[in-house]
Amino acid sequence: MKIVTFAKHVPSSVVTPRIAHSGDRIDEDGLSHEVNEADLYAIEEALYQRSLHKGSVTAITIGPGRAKEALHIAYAKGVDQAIQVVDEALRGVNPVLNVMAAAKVVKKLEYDMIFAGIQAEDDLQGQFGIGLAEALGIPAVTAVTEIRASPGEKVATVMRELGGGFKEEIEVDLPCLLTIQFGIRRLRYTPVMAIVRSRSRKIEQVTVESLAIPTEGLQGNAPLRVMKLSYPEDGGRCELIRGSAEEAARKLVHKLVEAGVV
Amino acid sequence: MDHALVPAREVFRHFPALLVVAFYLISVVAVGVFAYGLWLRIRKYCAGRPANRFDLMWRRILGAAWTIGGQVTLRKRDSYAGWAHALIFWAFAGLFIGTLIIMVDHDFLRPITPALQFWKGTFYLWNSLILDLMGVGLLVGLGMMATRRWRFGLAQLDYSRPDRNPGEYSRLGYVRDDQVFLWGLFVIGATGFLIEGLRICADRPPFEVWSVVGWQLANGIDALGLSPATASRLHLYIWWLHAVLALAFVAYIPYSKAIHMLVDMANLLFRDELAGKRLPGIADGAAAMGYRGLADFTWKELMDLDACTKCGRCHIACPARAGGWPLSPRDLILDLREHAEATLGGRSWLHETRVRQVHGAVAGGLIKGETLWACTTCLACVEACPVGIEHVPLIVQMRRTLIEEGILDRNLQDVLEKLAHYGNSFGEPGHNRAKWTQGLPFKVTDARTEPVDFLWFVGDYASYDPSLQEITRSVARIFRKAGLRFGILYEAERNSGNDVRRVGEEGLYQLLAGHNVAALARAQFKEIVTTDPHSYNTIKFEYPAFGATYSVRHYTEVIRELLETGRLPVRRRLDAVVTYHDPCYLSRYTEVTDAPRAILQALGLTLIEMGRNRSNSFCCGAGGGRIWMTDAGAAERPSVQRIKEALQIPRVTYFVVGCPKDVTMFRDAVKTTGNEGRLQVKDLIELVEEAIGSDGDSCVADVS
Repeated sequence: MKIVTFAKHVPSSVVTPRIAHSGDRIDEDGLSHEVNEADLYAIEEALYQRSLHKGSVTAITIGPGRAKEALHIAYAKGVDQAIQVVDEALRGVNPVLNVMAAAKVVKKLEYDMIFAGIQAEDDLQGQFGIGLAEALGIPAVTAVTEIRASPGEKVATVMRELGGGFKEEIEVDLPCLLTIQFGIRRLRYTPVMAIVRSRSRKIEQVTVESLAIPTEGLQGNAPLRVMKLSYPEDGGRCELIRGSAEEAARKLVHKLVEAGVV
Repeated sequence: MDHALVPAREVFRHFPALLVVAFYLISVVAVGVFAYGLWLRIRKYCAGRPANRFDLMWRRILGAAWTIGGQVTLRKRDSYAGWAHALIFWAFAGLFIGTLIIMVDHDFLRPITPALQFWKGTFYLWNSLILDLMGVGLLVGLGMMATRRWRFGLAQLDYSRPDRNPGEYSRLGYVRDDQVFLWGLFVIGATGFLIEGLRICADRPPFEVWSVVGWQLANGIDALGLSPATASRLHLYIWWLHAVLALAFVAYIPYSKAIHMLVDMANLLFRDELAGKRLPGIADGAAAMGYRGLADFTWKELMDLDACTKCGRCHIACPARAGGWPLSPRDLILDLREHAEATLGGRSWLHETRVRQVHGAVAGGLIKGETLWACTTCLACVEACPVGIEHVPLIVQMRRTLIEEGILDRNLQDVLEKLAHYGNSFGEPGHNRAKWTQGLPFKVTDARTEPVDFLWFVGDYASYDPSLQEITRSVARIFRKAGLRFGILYEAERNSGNDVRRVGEEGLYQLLAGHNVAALARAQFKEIVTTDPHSYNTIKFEYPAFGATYSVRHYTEVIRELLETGRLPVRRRLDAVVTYHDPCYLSRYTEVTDAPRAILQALGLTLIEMGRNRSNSFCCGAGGGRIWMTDAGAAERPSVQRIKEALQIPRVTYFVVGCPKDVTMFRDAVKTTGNEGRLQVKDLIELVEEAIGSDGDSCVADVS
């Protein structure tokens, strides 16, 4: 079974992001990046499926030069092939462009299933996977928590968890696209050495330009435009309780009772 | 030849030529079997990966000669076993030399010309006396060992495994091996005396009074009413019994625990003095890190496996075993040995038998993941081992494989990910590292921008753990009060990586250490002082591999100097009974045991030692990354056992430590055992500050 996965290189929480002067994006300077966590679950699941059905796993990233680090990690996790769509202009953050670029690349590959993370941590759009399925004309199932694939019969039974503990079982024809829910499987640890070793492995690179995607319609006058980013509001109230330990404890209990906590 | 004039004896007394030939034939066969067995073992070691253990050869030879000759490691902490072994060792060596003398005299010199022979006259008399005494030594030593093994009921000689149910394996083979070895030697020694007694009884050469034991034995045989003729006949039979047993023993050596006589000498010669303290790196271009199978073992590691005599000293020293985890350093080595013997040859005749055979990788298969993860890398096993087995590096190598395979505790995985992202095990932003300094009335020098004398490497726990930060501030205040020019690296400091390396995450270790080395290179300082003994170890012994050699001290060493030179005057002598717990990384690893005690003395405290102290300290259970793991053992936690050990001391009020992780572990142990009213865990610095007073303290009134 051949599975295609995606690994988005997103800013990590190690450094608190700053909004760029333009106001519609965050400043890249001083940021540190990591693989989008939801994508790691997709890759982990893909590797698990490969262990059951043989075949191969391909990981694709779309982003600027630095994004190949995401593919090093994908290699370290155990994927067989890695492709980077080099997007220096939009740095892989435009979901429309991403879908179009991904569709072009995936069309050239053989695949039975495509696993995408349920959403990306940086924009929380959650539309990449669905958009890609649409572009490829294959069925999509979102928020999948369990996969039982029968590649021979070209069909898979997948489970989705709905609210309140309800579950939904769906049968889907292959090829298909699944967006993978967090926690579908425990993420295995990736040793630093494995990442270092995978830096020497081959990454196939294609530029966005070479894919002949009409980028002009994606910036300024795109059908979907980020207008403004803003910092989190300081909403919480913090109160310092002073006094001796006994006194402070008494005040605290009083306040908790007042707030209806106790 | 006139025996009355020239003392000597006939080697083959009254033997027909055929029997002499038979003896030589049997000897050749025995030596052949011995040589074959030895060759099998040597071939096994040659199959190992290379390891450079040939440096400083003279130092190695002298060191090994001292250790072996003085039986130093055997006598350490067990003088009964040590002296019993010394008796056996020296007696065996003496009797072996005695046999060699006869061989040279009789088989080499006599065929050339009898004029060269020296085994006669006065030499013969002294030789007889000395060998008789050696014989007594051998039998007494063996008797002591037999009593110890089968009468004392020692825990270290109990072969039951902590990781398997009784029905799943049988170690009867090990017990048989002990019996054959001990009683075999005993019978050989005893029959040696018997043939001497019978010969003297039969011939009565007057000079044989020098064979003190043989002479008395002959008197005894006389008293039994045996005629000289009967004694002479019996002599022949017993002589053959002795000879066959002795030659059988020679043949048996390489196929049994007796091989330790040879392997352990080599093992002590080739041991690494820094084993565990300085872990091996990873070869460039290695496909994977760690030890997957025996092919990854070095020749010294394969030799380590054969070196084990099952003395059990590591078994009883191990905190993981004591805490009910499935690890016993002894069983780890024995399991690997059984595996190596089965696959690489050089097999012992008697061995463990298993109901269930394990297949797959060594790490995680034969040696289970939970066994390897139980190790606290406290080094007690390496320190206790009398024959230089290096357990800890081997465990770390196998942990590296577990890390590669992703077989690790979930909490540990989280911590490693935090370390990779944030550079500390708390998952806090780097810029919060020096937040603890905000509680000080002065600014701690930024060593990145200003030259200092002491670069203080604070460490993760002392920096980030809110319950330890006051202790850290205390160190700062004391340093300042003593007028030290000291500074810290602020957010440029990362976790030192000591425990990360011992977890087996070598790549992450190299990242962390590399970062610290680069940060240290940008600072100007004379020496490094650490709060954390773990950091101390890796900076001292492992950072040099990054081309960075520093002068490093633990803060207790600095404080001791400040107290002794009067730069820190004691204003208020403290009056309390305390006990001191040696942190593993400060005692066994970096060998700082005097400084903390000197400080306690200078403060006026009465130190009463626990039974296990200094290099024999008992681990708190936090080392080697254990502090980040959550799996519980089946018995009482090591920290709780240690607190109970301290509570045996009458009137003890303080349990003093010198390691931030110890403070955390033992405060928790005191709390969970409900001993808060009886015992207080104190970092040394807290007591120092109490006695010295901190800056801004109006401690004039405290002067007593």
